[in-house]
Amino acid sequence: MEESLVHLLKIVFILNSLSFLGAEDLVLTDIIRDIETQHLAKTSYAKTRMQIKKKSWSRDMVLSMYGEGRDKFLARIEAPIKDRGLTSLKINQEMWNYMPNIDRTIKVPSSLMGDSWMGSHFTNDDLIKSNRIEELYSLKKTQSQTDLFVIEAIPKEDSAVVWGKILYHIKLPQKVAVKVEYFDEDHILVRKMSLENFREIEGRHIPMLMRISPIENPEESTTVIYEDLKLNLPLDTHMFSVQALRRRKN
Amino acid sequence: MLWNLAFRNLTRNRRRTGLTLLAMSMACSLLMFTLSLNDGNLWSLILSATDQYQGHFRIQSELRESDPDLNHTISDSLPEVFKSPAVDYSPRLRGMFLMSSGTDQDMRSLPVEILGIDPDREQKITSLNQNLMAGKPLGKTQSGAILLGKELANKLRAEIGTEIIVMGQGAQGAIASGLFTVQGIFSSGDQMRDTRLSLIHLDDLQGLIGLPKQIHEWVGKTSDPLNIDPLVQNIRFMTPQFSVISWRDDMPQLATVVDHWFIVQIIVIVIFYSAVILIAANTMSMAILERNKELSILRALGLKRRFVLKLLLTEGFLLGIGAALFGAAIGGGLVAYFYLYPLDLTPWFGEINWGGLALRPAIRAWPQINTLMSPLILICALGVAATILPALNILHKRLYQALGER
Repeated sequence: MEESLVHLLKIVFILNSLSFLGAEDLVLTDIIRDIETQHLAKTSYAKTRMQIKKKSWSRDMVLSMYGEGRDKFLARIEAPIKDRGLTSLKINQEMWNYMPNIDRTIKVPSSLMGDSWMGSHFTNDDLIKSNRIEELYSLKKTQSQTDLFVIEAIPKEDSAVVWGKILYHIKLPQKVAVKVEYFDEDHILVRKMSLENFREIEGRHIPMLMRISPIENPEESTTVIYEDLKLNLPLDTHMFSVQALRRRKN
Repeated sequence: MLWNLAFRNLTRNRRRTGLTLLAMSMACSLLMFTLSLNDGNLWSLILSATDQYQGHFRIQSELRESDPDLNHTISDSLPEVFKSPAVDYSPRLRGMFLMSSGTDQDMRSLPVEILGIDPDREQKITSLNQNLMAGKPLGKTQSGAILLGKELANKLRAEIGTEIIVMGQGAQGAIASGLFTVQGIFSSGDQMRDTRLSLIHLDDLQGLIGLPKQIHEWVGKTSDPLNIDPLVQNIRFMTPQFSVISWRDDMPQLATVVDHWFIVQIIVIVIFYSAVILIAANTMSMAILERNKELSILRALGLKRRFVLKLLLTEGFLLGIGAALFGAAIGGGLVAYFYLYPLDLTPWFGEINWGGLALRPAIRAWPQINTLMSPLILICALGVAATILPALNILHKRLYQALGER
């Protein structure tokens, strides 16, 4: 009788532990999903200014960005005038660029998702968030302080991903990332992104400034400043199609 | 009288003289041809490595050596200091682009390098614009035409006339995009290169990227690529603001092979010269020993040994001259033919990929003064030298012994 009771207690303890671990995983997954989709909603619109600073040149762009959920996204260059109308469209895992000067669309192969977007330090993948970090990476809480903790994301086996490790520095109690560090497959820090100027929009704490800089060239950076952000607004959902890119030429 | 007598002696037994002359001239021509083929193999190696794409050396901004930034350019007007009658130059501009063909429903896109060339000047340096499998080379002026590597064309499923869309980074961070029409499909001899390289006119690429009058490098070709180091050192000394990279720097494995080749060549030369000396000496020796009785009769008639020796040496010299002339005609003809029309073995053996290079096997002769002249001098000298020993052998015999021999 006593032996059976001990067994029962052991089983309860194990189940309890498992449910606790599962709950934490679930929480981390939610946090990362919220961070990766912080500027997205059922529908979204943003006007942003992108400042690119490279060793030999610098450049400012104004972008209009539209989103429908997580699978459809469109970024259109409004300025400078020379590049006005140049548009990137993402539908599910595919991406196209539309060039108004030649009135043609070019498809971005999946192998180039890790490449620079329009010369910035953001990759195509950063822009369209095609990689679902919370699904492709294993998440683990590594450091914890009273108002800050770090989530480590390591790619799951067989995941075809760009980064070998990502560290999210999460600020409490808002559970927002203030810094994200990206490592290559050898776990060497390659670039870091800082997120600032948080504003509460529709109950979310959203960074209005993101700055990304490569570790190899610290004097270089790309800063994205959100000048306007609207969530869950009525949008013409037909705009998210390759054919519609040409119709929106001007 | 000595020369007349020697000449008459040679024409007296035409069969013997003809056979001796034939053996010596064949030895001379084969030596000339073999040495030129040996040099041709070395040159084939260098030419197939440099003439298809690389050139013999390239000059670029010093900044570009450490950072291949698109904006690290130099002017497209050739500095006076580089100009030399022994060196040709061609300007090149490079850009990385996303290239696409097909329709919205069936679009194929690939990352590629577009090389902007001046077709007129490039053809003096490499055969890039000539090695076409289909279509036409780039013309003298900008035209919106593009040449694709054969593997790239396969992957894009592009043919002559296909519309090609390109998009990439322009100067100062601008976005460059353009439309081109496939005018030709080339094979540069390197499958990897043919998968990612395309060619357009320099003016077209300067306009596309937004770098008018700017290039990334001058590619040079010299008449003596084997001796490239002094030229490169000289340019480096005169223009320290430029970075100069020779084919030896770009292809260190090939440079090592070339350095070892000279050692192998010395061994080959020693073997071939020895064989020729033996053939010629044996032929001359037999021709003289055959005349044992005749020469002894001359001595019996009162001719002095010294005169007979002089006569034989003169005959040997005349034979050597004749063999050199025939040998030069046959050997020189073969060398000239295989220099002008090298036999490309690629259809049978394919390209040989080695150390990142695609080499095209070929039988090619390469004429050089030393490989052409040394067999001629050798055969003339041999005509005299190979006479001495058998002549002395006969002349030192006692007359009754020599006349008594059967």
